[in-house]
Amino acid sequence: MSLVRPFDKLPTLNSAVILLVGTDERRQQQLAEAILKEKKNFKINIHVATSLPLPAERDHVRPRIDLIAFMINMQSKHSLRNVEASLSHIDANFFLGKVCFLITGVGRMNHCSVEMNAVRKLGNLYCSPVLFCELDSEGIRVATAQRLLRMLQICAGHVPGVSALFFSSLMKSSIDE
Amino acid sequence: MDKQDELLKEAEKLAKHMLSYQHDLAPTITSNIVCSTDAKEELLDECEEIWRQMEECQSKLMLLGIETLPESDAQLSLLMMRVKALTAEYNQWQKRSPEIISTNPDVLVALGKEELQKVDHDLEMVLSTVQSKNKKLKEDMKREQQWLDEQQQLVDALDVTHEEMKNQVVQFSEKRALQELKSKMLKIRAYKEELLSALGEFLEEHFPLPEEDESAKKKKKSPAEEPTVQLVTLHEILERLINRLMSTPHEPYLTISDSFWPPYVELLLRYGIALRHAEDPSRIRLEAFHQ
Amino acid sequence: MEPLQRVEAASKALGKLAAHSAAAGGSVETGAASRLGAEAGEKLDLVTLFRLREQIKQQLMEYNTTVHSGEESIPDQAIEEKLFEAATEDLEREMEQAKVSFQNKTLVLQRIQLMDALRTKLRHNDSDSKLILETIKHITMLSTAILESQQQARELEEKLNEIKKRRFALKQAGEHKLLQIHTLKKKQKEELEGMEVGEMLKRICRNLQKETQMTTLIQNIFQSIIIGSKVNWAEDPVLKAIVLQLEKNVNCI
Repeated sequence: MSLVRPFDKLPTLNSAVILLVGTDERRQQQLAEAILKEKKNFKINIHVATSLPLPAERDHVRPRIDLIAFMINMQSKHSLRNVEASLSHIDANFFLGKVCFLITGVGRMNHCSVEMNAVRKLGNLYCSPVLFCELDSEGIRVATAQRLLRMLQICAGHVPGVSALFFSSLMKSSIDE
Repeated sequence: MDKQDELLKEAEKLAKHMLSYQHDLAPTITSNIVCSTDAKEELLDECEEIWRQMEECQSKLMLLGIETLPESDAQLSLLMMRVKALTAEYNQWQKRSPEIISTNPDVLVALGKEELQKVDHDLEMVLSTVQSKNKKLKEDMKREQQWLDEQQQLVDALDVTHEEMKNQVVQFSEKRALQELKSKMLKIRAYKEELLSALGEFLEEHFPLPEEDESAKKKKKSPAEEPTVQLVTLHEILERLINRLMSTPHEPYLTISDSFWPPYVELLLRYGIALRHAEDPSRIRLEAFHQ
Repeated sequence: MEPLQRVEAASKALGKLAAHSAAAGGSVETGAASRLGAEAGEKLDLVTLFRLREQIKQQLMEYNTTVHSGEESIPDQAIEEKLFEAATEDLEREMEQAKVSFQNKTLVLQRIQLMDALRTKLRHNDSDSKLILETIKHITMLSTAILESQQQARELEEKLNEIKKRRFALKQAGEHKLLQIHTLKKKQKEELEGMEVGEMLKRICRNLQKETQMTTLIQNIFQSIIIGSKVNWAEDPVLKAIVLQLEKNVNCI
C-alpha cells in the first residue's frame, strides 16, 4: 500500500501532473480530453484512477502529482463512498490546497441520491474547494477544464507569488461569501 | 517606507553600475548569440543554485516521513496543519526582499522588449474595443435620431389635426346654413320657372288645343243644354297631374275628365309620362320621375 | 533533471565555441552556434529562461514552507478550533499584506531596471533599438488614439441621452395632444347631438326638397315629351340648349 505524497519527487521542469479519481470512467475521459485541448505553455500529464491507493508497481515511474481532483456523481451514492474511502490514502499535506472536489449531476434534483449537505461537509472537513459542474454540457466542460488548468498551474508552482495554500484560502473565503 | 527608500537607492546604484558595465561588455563585433550566452549562463547558474536548494529540501522531507489525517477530529488536525503552513509561508514572505531581475543588460533588454510588446498588444486590443463601442454608439444614435424625426412628424400631424378640428367647430353656425339653403332655394325656383316657361312654349307650339267647333261657340248663348265641355290644354293636364302627385303622393290618381282631349291622354300614356290605374281605366297618374 | 542538464551542456559548449571563434573569425561563429542551438532541442530565449527561473523559485518556496511548517510548534493551550480559525484569518490577512508590499516594490524596481536598460540600449542606435523606438512610438500613438476614442465615446453617449430624452418628451406631448383631440371630438359630437336644429331650418329643408322633386319631375316630363314627339331638337339651337340643360342634376345646384 503506497500513499500518495505531494513532495516525494522533484518536479519536472515546466510540466504539471493532475490525477482524476472517480468511478465514472466515461466522464473522466471526456474531462481529460477537454483539458488537453486547452491552450497552455507547459507540458501536462493526466492520470486517471477509479480509486486510491494507486498500484505500487508504477510508483517509481510516476512523476510527482500536483493536483488531485475527486469526481463525485450526485446521483450515485457509490461514487461518494468510493471517494471517502480513497481520501484516507493521501498524505495530509495534499489537503493544503492540492485537492479539489468535482461534483456532477446536480442538474436533476429529483434523481440525486447524495445530499447536498454531505458534499458541503466534505469540502469543509478537508478544507478543499468544491466545484459544481455538469460535465455533460460541452460549454461547462470546457469552462471546468480551464478552471482546473489554472488551479493546476498554481498547485505545480508555476505562478510566482501564488502558492497552493494561499489559493485555497482565497477559494474558501469566496465560497463562504 | 524606509525599506522602500533603501530599495530605490539600491536601484539607482544598480543603474549606475550598469552604465559602468557598458565598456566592459561591448566588443566591436558582437553577434547577439555571444552576448546572450553570457546572460544565459548567468541565468542557468542561478537556476542550478535554486535547484540544488530544492534537492536539499527534498531530502529533508523524505526524512520527515508520512503524515496522514487521523480518523477522528480530522478537521482539527487539518486546521492545525494549515496554521503551521501559513505561518511558515508568512515568515518566508517577510524575509523576502525585492529581487532585481538580473544584472545582465541583455536579459533586461530582452525582458523589456517583451514587456513593451505586451503593452503594445494590450493597447491594441483596448483600442479596437473602444472603437467598436463607438461604432455601435453611432449606429444607435442614428437609429434614435430617425425615430425622433418620425415622432416629431407624428406630433406635428397631430397638431395640425387638432387645429383643423378646432376651426371646424368655429365654422359651424346656423345662420350660414340658413343662408345656404335660401340661396339654393332661389336658384332652384328660378330654374323651375325657366323650365316651366320653356315647357309652356314648347307645348303651345307642338301640342295646341284642337280647334273648337264653330257651332259650339255660337251655341254659347243658350245656357247649359248639352254644353260642350271646354277642352284644357295639355299644359293644364300636366299641371293637374303634377299637383295631384305632389299634394297627395299616397293618392296620385286623377279621374280623366271630359275636358281632357283623349288623344292627348293617349299621348301622355304612350310617352310613358302617365300611367293608367291598374283596375280603373278612367284614372291616371303621373309617373314618379322624382323618386 | 534531464532537460536542464542538456541546456547547461549546450550553453557551455556554445560559450567555448564562441571563445574559440572570436579568434578565428566571425562567419563560423554564427553557423556553428545556430546548429548547436538546434541540437539543444529547446527554444532557449532569455525570456523563457527567466520565466523558468521564477517558476523554480516558487517551487522552492513551497518546499521551504513544507519543511519549516514541520518545525513549527503550537502551544497546547491554543489547541481549540475557534482560535485556529481566527489565527488562520489573521495569518492570511498579514501574509497578503506582506505579499502585496513585496510585489509592489519588486514591480517598481524591475520597471526601473527595465526602463533604464532600454534607454541605454536606445542610445546604441542599432537595428534593435530602432525596433524598440518604433514600438514605443506605436504605444504612444495607440494611447493617444484610445484617449481620443474615449472622449468621443463620452460625447456620443451624451448626445444619445439627449436624443432619448427628447424622444420621451415628444412621446408624452403626442399622448397629451391625442388626449386633447379625443376630448374635443367627444365634445363636438355632444354639441351636434344636443343642438336643436331650428324649426325654420327644418321647414326650409322640406320646402327645398319639394322644389327639387318638382323640378326633377318637370325635367323628366319635358325630356319624355321632346323625345316622344320626335322633334328634331338638334337643329333648333334654343331647343338644343334646353335639352342639354335637362340633363342637369338638380340636387347638385
